[in-house]
Amino acid sequence: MNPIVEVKDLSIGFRSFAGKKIVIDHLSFAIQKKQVFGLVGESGSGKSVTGLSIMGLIPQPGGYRESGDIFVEGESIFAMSSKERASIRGKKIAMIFQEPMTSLNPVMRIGPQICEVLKIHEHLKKKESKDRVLELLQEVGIPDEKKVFNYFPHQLSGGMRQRVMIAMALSCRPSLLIADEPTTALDVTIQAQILELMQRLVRESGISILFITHDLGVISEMADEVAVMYCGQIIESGVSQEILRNPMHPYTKGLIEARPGNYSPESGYRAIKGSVPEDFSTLNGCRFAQRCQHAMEKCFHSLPPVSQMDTRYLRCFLYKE
Amino acid sequence: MKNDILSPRALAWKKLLRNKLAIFGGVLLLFLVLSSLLAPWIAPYSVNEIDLFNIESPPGVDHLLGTDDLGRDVFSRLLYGGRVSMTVGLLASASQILLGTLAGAIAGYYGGWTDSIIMRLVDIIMCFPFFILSICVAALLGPSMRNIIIIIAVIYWTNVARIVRAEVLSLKKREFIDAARAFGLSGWEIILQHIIPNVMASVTVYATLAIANGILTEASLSFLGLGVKPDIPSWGNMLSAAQSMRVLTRQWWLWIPPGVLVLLTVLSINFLGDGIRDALDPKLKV
Repeated sequence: MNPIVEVKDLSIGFRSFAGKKIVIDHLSFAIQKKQVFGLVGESGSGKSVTGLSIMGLIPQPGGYRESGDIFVEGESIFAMSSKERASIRGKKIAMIFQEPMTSLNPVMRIGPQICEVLKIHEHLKKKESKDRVLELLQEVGIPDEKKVFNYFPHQLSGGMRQRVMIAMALSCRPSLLIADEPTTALDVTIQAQILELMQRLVRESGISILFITHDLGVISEMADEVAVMYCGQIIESGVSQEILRNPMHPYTKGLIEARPGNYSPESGYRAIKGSVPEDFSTLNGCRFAQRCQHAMEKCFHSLPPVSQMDTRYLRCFLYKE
Repeated sequence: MKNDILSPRALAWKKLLRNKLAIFGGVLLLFLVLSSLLAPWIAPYSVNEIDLFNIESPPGVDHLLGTDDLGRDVFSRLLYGGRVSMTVGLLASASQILLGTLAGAIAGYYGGWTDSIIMRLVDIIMCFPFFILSICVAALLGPSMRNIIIIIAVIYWTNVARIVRAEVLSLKKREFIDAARAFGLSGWEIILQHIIPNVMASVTVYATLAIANGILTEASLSFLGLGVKPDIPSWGNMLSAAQSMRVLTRQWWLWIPPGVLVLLTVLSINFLGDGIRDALDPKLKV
């Protein structure tokens, strides 16, 4: 079966006055139909840039593709014209964002805002698109959808706004939904509702989701497969339950150890020591070597290659026999 | 959550209606606009009707505000003159808003070279002294109402462009613009659907003040003889009579009424504009 989206050896860099900086470094992964693919990592590890790049929206100014390619349903998005790329956005791939408070236009009513997407991609008449939008609002669990249709964004709560965003994202029945930390800005009970909604969508409409988050709890609940990112590289990836239960890379281990649930009054949080290196594109060795307890001499000099163990991909010298 | 849905526009209306000074300005303006619109029915004489028996006569029963040096009725000419002044104000304001908003939105949204070219053009135009430029244009194109409007629009759109650009710069970093791009909207669709509606608040305020400014500019240019043709009455044209010392000292009815009308119109527009600004400012709760 062909994957919906395939990222092959992708490198993305930024040009600035200070010179070039690589933020995504030879990234490869594939998302299958009906799959929830989790992308975890701390801030600045390149998760969001990866998500935007799949839509062909490398952040400007300065962002550029250093190497590699992204295939959406078999077609390279970098080979497309910008018009073709725009026609994929919202139609084949849709995206929802972290801040539901700011991702809706404050001066446009909810209904017309969703209708606009339908107008662009499906060329629906006003009446048809209104019916469709009401249907969508109902589908994402908004009560009293006829009223909400005429609401302005400020009249809705964060959770409701995120539902509206999801409705908007689903409006053209895309095959992939990129969810960039969709629950980070919401409180826990609303988080659970939104996650449940997304799971239901995968079950019922067969959509795939690229789930970007730094919350491992959410990953274990949602994702079939997970890739752990650190400094622009995937350092470990595979079936999510396996990785969470039996992490192998010292960084993944550290992340799981560092969960707030492991807090104890005596030892505090078990945080990973040190911080993310400022400019990692100049490092020769493993990106995590400076913070790694198991670091060996060679970790500082050469980059560990990706090795495969069963269903798992790993970038670490510890397990290379 | 309230049951009746107040759009931002309805909220602004409510706030505006509570502002007494703005209401005063609005009513006064409405009165002035109506009186010049209805000039053909109100005015006792036609614009260029000459009463040779009453040349330079002071205000009286026959001529409410007296007559000028050709025996034309000042009151009637004032009513008609309002039409020219207000048309110039309105059209000049509308065209500079149109030009400035588009240029500012394009410069701010696209950035880079587009931004540099547009904003340097703005800088250059802002460097020209207004009167020298308008005297040149009026000399080349000849004085007429259309040319005044063009001159004002071409010179003043730069202010709007700067205001709009500054707002767009902060607006385009907002997530809903990213979201719009992620939903496949093109640059133009984003500018027209998402950016421009969001800058309309400040543009509306500027537009009202630009009308006042347009009326003043028309008056100044006409005063200097660079505005509308002398046979067409406009407040500025009528004011230019005061260039003669005799009129200034002895025939007050020729220049005080148009001066007062310019003052009242501009003042009422400014009151209204201030009211609109307060009403559209979400930080100001009334």
